[in-house]
Amino acid sequence: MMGTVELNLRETELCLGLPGGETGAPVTGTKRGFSETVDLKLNLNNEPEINEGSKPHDVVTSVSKEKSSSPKDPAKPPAKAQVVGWPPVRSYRKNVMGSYQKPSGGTETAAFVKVSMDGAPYLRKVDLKMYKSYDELSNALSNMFSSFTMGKYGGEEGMIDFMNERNMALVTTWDYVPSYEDKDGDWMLVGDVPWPMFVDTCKRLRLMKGSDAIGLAPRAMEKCKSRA
Amino acid sequence: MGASSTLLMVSHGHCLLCLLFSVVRFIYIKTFNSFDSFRIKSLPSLPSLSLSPSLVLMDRRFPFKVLEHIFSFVDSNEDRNSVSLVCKSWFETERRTRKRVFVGNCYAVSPLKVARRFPKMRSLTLKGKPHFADYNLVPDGWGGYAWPWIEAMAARRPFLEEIRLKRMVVTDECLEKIAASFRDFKTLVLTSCEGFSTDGIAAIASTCRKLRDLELRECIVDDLGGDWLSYFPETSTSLVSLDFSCLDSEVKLSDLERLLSRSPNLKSLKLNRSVTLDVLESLLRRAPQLVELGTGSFSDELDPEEIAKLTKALSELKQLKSLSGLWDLLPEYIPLLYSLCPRLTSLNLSYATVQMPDLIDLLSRCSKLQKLWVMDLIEDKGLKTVALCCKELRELRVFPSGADLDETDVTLTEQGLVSVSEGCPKLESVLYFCVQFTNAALVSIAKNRPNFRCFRLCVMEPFAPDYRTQQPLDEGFKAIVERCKDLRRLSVSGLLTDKAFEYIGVHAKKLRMLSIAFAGDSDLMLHHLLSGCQSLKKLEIRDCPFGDTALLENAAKLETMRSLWMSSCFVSFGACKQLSQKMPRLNVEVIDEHPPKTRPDSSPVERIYIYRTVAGPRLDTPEFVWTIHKSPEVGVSRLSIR
Repeated sequence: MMGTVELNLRETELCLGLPGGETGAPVTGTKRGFSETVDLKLNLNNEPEINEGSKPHDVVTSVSKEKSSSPKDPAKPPAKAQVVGWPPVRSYRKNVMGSYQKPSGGTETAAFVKVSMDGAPYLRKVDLKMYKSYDELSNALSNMFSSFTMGKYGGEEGMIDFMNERNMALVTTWDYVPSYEDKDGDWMLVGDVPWPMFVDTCKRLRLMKGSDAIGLAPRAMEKCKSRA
Repeated sequence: MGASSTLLMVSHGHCLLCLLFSVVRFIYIKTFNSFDSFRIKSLPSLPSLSLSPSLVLMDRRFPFKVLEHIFSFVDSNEDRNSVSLVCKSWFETERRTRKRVFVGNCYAVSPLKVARRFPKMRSLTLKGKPHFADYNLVPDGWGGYAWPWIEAMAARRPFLEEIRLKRMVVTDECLEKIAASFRDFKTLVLTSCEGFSTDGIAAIASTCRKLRDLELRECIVDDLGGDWLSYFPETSTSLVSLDFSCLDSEVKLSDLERLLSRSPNLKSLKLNRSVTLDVLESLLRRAPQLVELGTGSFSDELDPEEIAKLTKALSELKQLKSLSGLWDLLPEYIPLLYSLCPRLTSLNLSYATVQMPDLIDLLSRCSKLQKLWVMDLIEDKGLKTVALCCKELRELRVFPSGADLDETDVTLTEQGLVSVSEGCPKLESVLYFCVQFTNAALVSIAKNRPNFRCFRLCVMEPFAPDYRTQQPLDEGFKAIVERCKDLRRLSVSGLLTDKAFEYIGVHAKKLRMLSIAFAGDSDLMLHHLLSGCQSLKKLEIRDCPFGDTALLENAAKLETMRSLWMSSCFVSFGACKQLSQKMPRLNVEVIDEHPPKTRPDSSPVERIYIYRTVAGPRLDTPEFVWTIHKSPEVGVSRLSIR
């Protein structure tokens, strides 16, 4: 599965930067427009990892789009012209949305990260500073996503056990494995580093389907050592 | 029955006159629903006709007075437009009796022509920028200036009483001109306008002695302070409605109190956010006759005594039907509104960041509600309550709060809209923002509610398929257009292929306005729409992968429409030129903020705006707008005489 998906990863990769800047392979015109209109709110389909996971249709549609759209490459429109107007909400309302998002207090001390779970229709957000240990986080996440988990290791035990090294052996048998994206943009398994360090470096969380998590584990400890 | 049947009997050989008369009678009947012989007798007596054919000439006209009397009952401008096309005398009579003039695109006709054509004009409504300007897709400075219109009317139509402008640039100069020129001026409604300051409003307030309505709806105003409110005349005012909800700065409480005290006719008052909750009671006491109230901010700390007084003041508003404002509404203040709920027909909670379950108690009391605007904080649960309790609901708008990705979990899904469509039999207009959707939901909604006239669904994730089946949303929208035969306005979103637009073209015969973003696969999509949707008047498209072929093939259709907007699509410069040269009465505007140095025909354009006009290319284009010239040799002309 990884093999066939990889072919299309390039095309389906939606990045937040300007087109043609990094990879040099511009995606189709419409997709480019979309990638530039994405702001932080529309992150649901933004990550290549999610594309490879449980949404095969994205791959299909992006391929078909590539086929049907004409090869003419529109002159690179500047980002400004397209990073506007989506969702179609009047500026008046945007101000309301903006002011709503400000938490009532203590913004500086909060550490909000988005949590996504493969297959769930919503993202959640958690404030890591509200928890003091991996256990607490694990319980919170189980509660949050309890309606979606159908794991063998359901509810009471917590579907996720972060702390022990034996995780790595058990990874393949569990349904969901927590991974996080750190400051460098790498995806690591949760539980390898001390909790305070985790809170500092974690940028977002993803609960991956167990089978996708193979290969993540070793890097965590290496990174840890190189930083120490 | 006398006069008419005599005519018919006597002049059987003179078909034209009969036809004319029966058509006039038809309009009469249409207007009154039954042929009322009393009314015929009350008309001025018809000229007597002898049998001599020479007296009944082809160009014999009905007395002006007869037609005028009949036309005075023809209200809708669409009917009047049809009436004016029958013959010259009808055109003349109609134009001399039209009081309310509506111009949907201010560049479709010159102000001078309109001023000259309708001498009895009392009310003028104009729209300027394309609709997508609301979402910042039209660069600043594009146009839509009110000044030429105000100037023309001021010079020729001093008896003008009402001006309503939407998406236009209005300057203080315009407002001062209005104040100075129209001595009976009564109504100023500015929606989504910009370019003026509170000084201009002060001019209107102070000079228009008969002012009844002053409404600033979502305008961008250069707010120089709250002084303008003190400019209303000291003696009692004739104000019926005042809306300054879009202004930022504080007005003086004493000014406002005194204004309310001397405005006994005031029925609609919409305050701005800076009017705090602690002063609301004092204002309401002075205006218990209000039918529409827009509060200011609803979040200050009040002590129990203040709360009791406010509760009482609110309960005294026995005529109140519409409630809005409610900025930052705190859950603990919701009970204050309970006394109003049973009578409310319109409730705008779209600025109230109240969540579930606090909203349930409020909504369950609003059994007469016809119009509800909320944020997605209402969630599916709240909409279920609406479905159960608000059986009179006609219009629902659910706006995104941005909260669904925030720390609070907000679950608004397609199920919410399905519940409302099931429970509210009169629902006909919907605007719904949602993260994802399914075909099954759309099909249910269409089955439940075939009476939709306006259906706008915004699936906020571009290209989002049905999240259960991963299919495009084609089948869902097909159900909507198939079943909702009266659909006038539609906005589509989510993953859509050309098929969806084939369905729309085939079924949506009454559709007048369509908005599309991030959809379709090819030119076929546009072709389906332009060749299929007979009633289409406004089409706006962004970020779709097609352009030239469909446009050129369906060029003639564009003259039957008010306007077409396309941005970030694949429309080439060459196609724009061809289109413009083919269609003499279209203005083809190319809007390019970053134009390339050379323009080969194959180069794409950022945006095009095409609209029919009898006024020719406009003369006020900014440097980033080009109106394509009709003559092939010239190519592009940028007529910018300022």
